[in-house]
Amino acid sequence: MSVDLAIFKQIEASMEEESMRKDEIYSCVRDYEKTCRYIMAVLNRVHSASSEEVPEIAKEALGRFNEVKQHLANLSKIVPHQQFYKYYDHWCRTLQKSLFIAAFAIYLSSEKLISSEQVENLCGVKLNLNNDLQDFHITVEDFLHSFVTLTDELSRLAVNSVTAGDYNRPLKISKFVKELYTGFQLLNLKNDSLRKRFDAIKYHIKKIEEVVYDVSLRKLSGSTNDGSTDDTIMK
Amino acid sequence: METEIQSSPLGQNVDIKTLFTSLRVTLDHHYDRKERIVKQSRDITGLSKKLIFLAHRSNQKSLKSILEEAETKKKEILELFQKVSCELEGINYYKYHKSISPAIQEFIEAISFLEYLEHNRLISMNDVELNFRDKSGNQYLQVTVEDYVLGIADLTGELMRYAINSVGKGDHDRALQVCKFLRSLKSDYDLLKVSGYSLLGRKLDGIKTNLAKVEDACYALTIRGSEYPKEFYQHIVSEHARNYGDNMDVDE
Repeated sequence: MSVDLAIFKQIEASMEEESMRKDEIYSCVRDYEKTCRYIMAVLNRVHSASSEEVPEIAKEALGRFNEVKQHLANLSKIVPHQQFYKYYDHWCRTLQKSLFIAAFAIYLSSEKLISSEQVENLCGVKLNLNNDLQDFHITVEDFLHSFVTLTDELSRLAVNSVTAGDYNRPLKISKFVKELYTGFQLLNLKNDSLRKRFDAIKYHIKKIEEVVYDVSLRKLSGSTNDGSTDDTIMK
Repeated sequence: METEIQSSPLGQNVDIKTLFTSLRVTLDHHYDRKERIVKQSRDITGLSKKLIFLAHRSNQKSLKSILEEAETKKKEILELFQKVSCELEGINYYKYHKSISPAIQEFIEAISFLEYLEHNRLISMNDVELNFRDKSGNQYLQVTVEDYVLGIADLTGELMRYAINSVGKGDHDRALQVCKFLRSLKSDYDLLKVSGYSLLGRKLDGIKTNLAKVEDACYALTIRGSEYPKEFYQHIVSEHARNYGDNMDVDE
């Protein structure tokens, strides 16, 4: 009596196939990662830019999202039907990073939170808002993770915009991030990674608040013409 | 691209509250479903463990009565699997696989043990999958290669216990048979490329120690067994065990 070797041959073959698929995904994600770094390099300029230059920088970054679209299209071709979550861990970090980049660029150009439609347009992939998508998609968690990263980056921008001479931006960032935080408080989070990262938002808020305090203490923000500056940026 | 974004009406007027309220609904659905699956998974794991204990009693009771009892227990477990399977349809299978996988592995461990007791052979992956079919023949739950391989790796632990128990009962032939089976199982596992399957890597070490224990036991009974005829040896062992038990009683 011996164990049937054919069983293990079959198992070996299926494991081999899977590791090849993973390699394919890895190389895809590597290129995707590279694109994210390039776009981020563009956006990083806002930290030392004057407020007039910012929309232009955001526009340039958003213009490069065609590449993100392409990477995601490539990935979705590799993943077999209904096996999305089997491989999801391989790209979720990179995807979250690119979603953050999109949200940051959209904020810089419109001072609004990116909408689900905008995400879908920029990435060419559907957002799984109703838990009903069967193929490649962006998860709600990915979307939320990108918002947390956004609050971190905005707290940095609040500091740097003061250095660059834009005293109004910290006030606008403060209002926006607080709204976002209120949004997060509407969620019933479980004890997972999202929950931990959500807990970090309050420190980002604290950092922004300190900047706001410094600016208002010295009466540096033009509180009288605040409304009019808002209008010009909105257009 | 840029014009597309600017022309999107919602992009100009995103209501954070509305967005997050809708995200909450989505997240709640996900968390609730996961909790239901985890609960079912825990129940199934518990029942499968009981099934394994039952199988170990084959040293005491007749195999036939145990297999009969096992069959009803198995049905009970499969009913739970069928109930939970509706939560794992389509893309959700892999989404919640981590939650259900321990239950599937434990069940494979149990039925592969029973299969070995009954037929002296390794259950095939196909036979495992046949369990998860409803009356009309539809496969309501898939089994991944990983689940199967890990479940069988756990089987070696049960077989080790079974072999040592057999030695204790004086059933040397049975112990030697298990030893042979484990050996061929291990050589098959050695063929698998393990890199990337870290959990399997750890289990492989387990297989190795399980086999070593059985091999040592077989060595001992071979060398000592040669000194006396089999029945005499058994008599010594059981006599000694009885004395030991008596002493325990006296102590109390």
